[in-house]
Amino acid sequence: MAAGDLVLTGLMAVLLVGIAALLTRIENWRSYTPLAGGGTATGETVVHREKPAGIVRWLTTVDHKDIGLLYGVYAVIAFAVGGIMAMLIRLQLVTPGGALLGANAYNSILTSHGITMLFLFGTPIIAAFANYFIPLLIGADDMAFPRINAIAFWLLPPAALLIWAGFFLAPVTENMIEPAQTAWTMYTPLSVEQTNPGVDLMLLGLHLSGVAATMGAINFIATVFTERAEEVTWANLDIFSWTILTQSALILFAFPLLGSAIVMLLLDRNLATTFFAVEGGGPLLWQHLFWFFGHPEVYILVLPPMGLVSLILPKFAGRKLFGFKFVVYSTLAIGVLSFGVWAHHMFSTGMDPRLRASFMAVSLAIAIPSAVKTFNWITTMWNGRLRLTSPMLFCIGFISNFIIGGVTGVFLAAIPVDLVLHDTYYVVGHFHYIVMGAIGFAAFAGIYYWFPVFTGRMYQRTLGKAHFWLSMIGTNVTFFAMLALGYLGMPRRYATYQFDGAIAPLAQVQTYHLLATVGAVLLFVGQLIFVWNVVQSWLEGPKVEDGDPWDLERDGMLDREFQWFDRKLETAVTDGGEDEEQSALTGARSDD
Amino acid sequence: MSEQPAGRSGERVVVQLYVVIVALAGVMGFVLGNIRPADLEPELFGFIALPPTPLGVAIYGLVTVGLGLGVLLALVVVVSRRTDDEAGKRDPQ
Repeated sequence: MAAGDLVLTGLMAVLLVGIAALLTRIENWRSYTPLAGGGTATGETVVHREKPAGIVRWLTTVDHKDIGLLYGVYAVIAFAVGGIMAMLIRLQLVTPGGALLGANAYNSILTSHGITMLFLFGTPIIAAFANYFIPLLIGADDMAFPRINAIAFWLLPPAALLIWAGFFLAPVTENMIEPAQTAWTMYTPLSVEQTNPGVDLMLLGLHLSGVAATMGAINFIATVFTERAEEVTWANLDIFSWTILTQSALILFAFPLLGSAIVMLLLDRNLATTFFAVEGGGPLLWQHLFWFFGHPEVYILVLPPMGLVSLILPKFAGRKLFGFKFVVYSTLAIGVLSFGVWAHHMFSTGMDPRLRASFMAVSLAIAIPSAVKTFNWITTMWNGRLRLTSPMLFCIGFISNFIIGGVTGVFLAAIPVDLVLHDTYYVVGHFHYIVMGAIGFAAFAGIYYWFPVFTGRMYQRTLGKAHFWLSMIGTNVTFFAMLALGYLGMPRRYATYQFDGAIAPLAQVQTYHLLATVGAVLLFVGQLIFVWNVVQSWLEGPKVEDGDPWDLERDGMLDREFQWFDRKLETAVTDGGEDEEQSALTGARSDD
Repeated sequence: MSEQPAGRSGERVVVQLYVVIVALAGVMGFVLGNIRPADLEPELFGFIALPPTPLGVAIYGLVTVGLGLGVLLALVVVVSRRTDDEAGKRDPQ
């Protein structure tokens, strides 16, 4: 205990020294202006007129492209952490008694996997694309509030540290502070009664990530409304900007509610309030508040990826998106309806059956705009000439997985089916088809599609395709096996499993768990290839010298971001490029 | 710099996608027939009783999903012929 205190004191001291060191630099920061015409009066080495050199550039940047890259790196790191956690979960379940972990460690990793993937990977990877490309797509100089943009990002690293704090602190505090074991839904009374301070830290981290998302959302709304170029009207606003705008509106309504609910939970845990106690609001109140945020969160995560697919797919089909207006309308319809479906997560709680029926109706109804989008993507492909590049393959994979995830979801929206399958692996399989098979795939499509723009280089195409096929097969093997496990009655979140033979033969359950793990290994190998491809190509890939690396001009589909990229190559006025000073002086075409 | 300048027929890729997804439904039917949950009584269109065996449920999955998505695919074909301004613009290269 004494040793633990000592270590904590030491950590605090290091933190304070770090803060003091940072504060001493504030004077320098003040004299640094992000404006295009401004200069750095700090006397530091600069690689660009507007930016300081080295790590200071990345710590102080307010350039939307830099912040987009920071979001991207952050999200990929979180994806790696969450992915390793997923692998541990899958390896654990290879044998019924658990192959690797104790129950507490399993619960910790399961909880952190969910929160990491949704809040530290999903939201930031979307913010990465939005930050980098929305201003370019709408012809803006930058985001409406560049400094708020930077603050929103810099709230995320401490959020991650708080969410994962239990893992770091458990060894040095003799398990006084452990990782949260509440599952990502943090249902009361479990989350109130776990005395572990790691839960408080996780809640604070989650709150911080919500604040960051809200600040980002305000910024995107302001940017799209006020910073568009004159020629960019509402009628010709691109589809990705539409989805980001809708998503930002959802964030604005959903995340502050999560923040309030988290504060109430913290008060219940630490100050003996009774918001979620039986004598107060009752445990079901948490579920209502959480899912009022939680289901829009699903659409917060899926709408921008839908926008990415709507933007990228036509480029490689060589034609315009079919029914553009209807895709926009369906985006707005999903945005509105997403706030009317939350209680379908609670059908088995014993809530009023009349309420259940209305939530079932809206849940089924939200399938319609989703189907409209799918219909339009498929019709776009039908009359197109498809170039099966890596981004296009991931778009097609998105559609395929989205159909499977969507159809399995429609069944879950029906109360009688839900009552049978609730809290089984069927639900896990269903939503992973969406979060990995669709959202993850769209993120990969975006990374490959814009890779030339943000790196100036081209990735290795063969590795890109290997990444796609391993991900596609891995996703379908893993999550298909989970659907089957659900039918077998395998409950979610269990660290071990034993089965009454009358329900299902244990051997059969284990076989599907094994299958799911094999699929997860395929997925894991695919992601290793992805990381290698991105890092290696970024450092050593062939330099892109053509502002239209995908031959989009031929079909008249060269969007603003590639036009910007082309101008950047031609004028060599890059932001933060290594040798643009020299290039600009010589007027030479940059080979960057 | 494009990866594959020639391009493939969108129709063919969409039909392949349809076949794969319907086949997956058949596999799921087969799996369900193997698992055989209690009260498994597949009835095609609600009135043609099929045996609750792997083959029976696989047929149920294939026909049900094949028909459901098939109707949507037919709709895609009709809509793209009649209302898609870009239809016919792109002849196979």
